[in-house]
Amino acid sequence: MTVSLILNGEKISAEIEPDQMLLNLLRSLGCKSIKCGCDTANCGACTVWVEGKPILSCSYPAARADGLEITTLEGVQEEAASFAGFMADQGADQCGYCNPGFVMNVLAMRRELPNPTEDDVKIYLAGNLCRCGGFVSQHRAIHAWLTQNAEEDQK
Amino acid sequence: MYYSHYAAPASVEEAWALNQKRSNHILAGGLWLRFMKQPFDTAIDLKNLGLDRIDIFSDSIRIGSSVTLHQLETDATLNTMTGNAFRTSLQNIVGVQFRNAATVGGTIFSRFGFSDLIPLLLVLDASVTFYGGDHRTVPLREFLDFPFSRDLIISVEVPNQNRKVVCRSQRLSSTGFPVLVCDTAIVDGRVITAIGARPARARLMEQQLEETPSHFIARVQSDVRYESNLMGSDAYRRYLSGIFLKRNISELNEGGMIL
Repeated sequence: MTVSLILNGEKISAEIEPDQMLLNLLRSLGCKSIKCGCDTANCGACTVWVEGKPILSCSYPAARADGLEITTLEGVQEEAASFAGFMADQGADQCGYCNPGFVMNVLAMRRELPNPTEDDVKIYLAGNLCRCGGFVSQHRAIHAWLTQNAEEDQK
Repeated sequence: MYYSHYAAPASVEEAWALNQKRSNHILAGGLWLRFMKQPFDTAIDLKNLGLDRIDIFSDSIRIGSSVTLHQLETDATLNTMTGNAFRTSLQNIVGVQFRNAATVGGTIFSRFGFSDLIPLLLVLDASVTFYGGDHRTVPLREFLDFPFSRDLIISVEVPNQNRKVVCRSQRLSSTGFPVLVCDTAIVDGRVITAIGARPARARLMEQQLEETPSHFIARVQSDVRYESNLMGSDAYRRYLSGIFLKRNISELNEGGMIL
């Protein structure tokens, strides 16, 4: 069957199997940032946005995305690079496998929660698991990034 | 999850008709269905049925069956009405990405014992509207005992009235399945509580007239059936239910004593 998506701002049509998951489709379309971590809707490594909302692409039928706007890390590179700098500063990246899904969820959080508390951040990001780090460095990076963003917004 | 065909019908009647074939399945959030290893014929997606809305009426709030758990979690009206119970109850479920897909209908139809949402809806005196050839509405507490069928859940309704609910759950890890869920409200001076993840599906208990809260707590511990599994023993769950219920009542009474 054929699905038509708006992928990172570009209209795309693709042939899919009826039971194909969005993760597989997007990777076949060149979005290699999306990682298959657990394949059981637990780890968050496969996070992409569907209509601006973070979802787990390993468990989202590609057919359901027909006509919808899909955003991957490739589509928010400038903003992601800004945050990635903070992650590097805090030593929050080790193997890097969780990073794309993590970044997508952080960017989604900033859109949904303009001024998140520490608890808000922990709850929002609870669906992104990292086997390498202890999450503390990642939270430091997020806090620093949010603080800088708040200062820039005030200017 | 393996299926040969994908359908997104335009009407409830069409979706229900498709679902009468045993080799077809409703695709709600799909987060539990994806673990099904046996291939089936058609996945029936409800995305075109307009069931993803929360509608507010003067006497009730209608929650469409395709409303996601994150929509519920963040709904201002529902949280104001219940003292942030929806947020408290649902925010521990896996992660935001998961909750952006998991739906009310999928949770209720499956009658999951581990559900955080069902105990809350029980305490809110929710009703379920489903379609099985015609539309029918029954209290959720009755629906939970219905045998599984190939009917379609359309919506859940809760009364549009303030009812503060205190929600507590015990988990081995913060985003994992609950070991026990205890949601409590005080209605007309009487305590009502739903005990979930027993590990069986939630059970609603109501304080009787002339019954003291302490006696009610003891009755909940003795009359509700708790069982053991890898996550906890029946004794542990029974013990927890008493502690949680006591804390919930105290919180509802704003720290007042349990008599």
